[in-house]
Amino acid sequence: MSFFKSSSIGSITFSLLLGVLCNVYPWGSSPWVPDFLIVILAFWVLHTPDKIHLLAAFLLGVLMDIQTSQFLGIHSITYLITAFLMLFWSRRLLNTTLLGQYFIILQVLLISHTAQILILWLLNASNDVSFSYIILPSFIEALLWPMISKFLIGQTSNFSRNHSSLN
Amino acid sequence: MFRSSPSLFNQDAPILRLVFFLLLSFILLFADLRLHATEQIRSFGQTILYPVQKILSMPSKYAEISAEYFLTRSNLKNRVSDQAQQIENLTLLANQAESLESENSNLRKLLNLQQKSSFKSLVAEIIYNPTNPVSQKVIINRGEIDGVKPGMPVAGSLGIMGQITRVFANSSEVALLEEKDFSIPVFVERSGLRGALFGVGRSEPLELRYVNNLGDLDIGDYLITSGIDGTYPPGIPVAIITKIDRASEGSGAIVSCRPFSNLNQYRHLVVLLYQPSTIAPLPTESEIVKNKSKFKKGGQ
Repeated sequence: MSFFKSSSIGSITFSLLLGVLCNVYPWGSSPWVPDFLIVILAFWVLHTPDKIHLLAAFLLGVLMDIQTSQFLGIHSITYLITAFLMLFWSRRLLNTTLLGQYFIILQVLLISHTAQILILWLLNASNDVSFSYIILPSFIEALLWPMISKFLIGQTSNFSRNHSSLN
Repeated sequence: MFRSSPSLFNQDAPILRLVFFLLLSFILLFADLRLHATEQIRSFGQTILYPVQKILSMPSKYAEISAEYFLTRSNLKNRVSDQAQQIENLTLLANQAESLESENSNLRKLLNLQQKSSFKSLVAEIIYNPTNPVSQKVIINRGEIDGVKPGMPVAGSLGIMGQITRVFANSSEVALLEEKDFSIPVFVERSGLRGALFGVGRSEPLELRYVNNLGDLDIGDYLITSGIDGTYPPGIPVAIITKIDRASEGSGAIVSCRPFSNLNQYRHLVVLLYQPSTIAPLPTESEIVKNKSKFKKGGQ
């Protein structure tokens, strides 16, 4: 795992903080607002599973629950499922093109957002399940993936080379 | 590389760790929902996040201010004259209200009725409304330091907007009227009919419940706080009736209402620091004993 040294703790922390800032920005409550942090978290879970794993997902989830003033645990469950699926499909993800990655990420996000809305629905017992809160954020976040992925790989020098040597 | 089977237990996917953290999340969820034991975690997190929220809410605020700055002169002139007129009208109303209030309090004294309690108010600014698929809440920039307490009513310039649900050091959370299961005791201004107004969900009309199917209700009636719960001061406008569906079966009419204040429009709102004085004192122990003995005697 020596080739992961290049992605320093500094850039990981910085990008995650940036994700938190993007989420804290007062966008308003609308299904069109994506969860920026989930994409950045997914990236680091995929590329540095030794540093960013389920514990980080859990803690960031609790922070986002406080930010959105929801019951504690809802975002952490979402982030945990995302992180787990990223690890579960990590070989497939690292072996495909960016387009292939896009479709896998979309699946991951759809599953974790569905879990989130399902829990909220069970807790609130309202009649209507807000499907727009599953589909819209998932698609927008999946669109963010290639950009964030390119940007963060660019941040960490000789990153992609090491990956190609792995395969 | 792909030898490992079953794949769920491969090295890449730490299923045990996932189960552990999911369990932890569910425990946290349970502690929050049923035991309300997570307030400290929440206020700690909010204290960290508050400066960030405050700074990030600035750009939109200053955009508004700069838009004001570039108003044209004629616009400004119109606005000033409008406001002067408005102030004159309001002064007249205020004077009238003052004399009415003094008259009212004198009459209440004469009739030996309880005095209405007066209260202070606190202007607060909305920092943000959190992304939340199921509920309608806003975070305001006043907290425990400013004397805000959970349960205090929050109003806009047109009427009641919601209620404080959670208080942090510098900020607090307000549940808006549309929040599911939000309830507020009201009466119909025209007929004096009492009922309770309930929130149904985001961007759904409010519902007036516990009113008679044959009650004296009409579209356009104003609903005003009755103040019988002691949480809301009496006489503040809340909503207007928009639709009445007299049920052919079932017990009550379905009455839809629209809140007076547009819940998603304003940047500022007012926290009413209302401390109800109408709560009867709890009976002391000796009184209970006395009553009991009296009851026994009566029974014999």
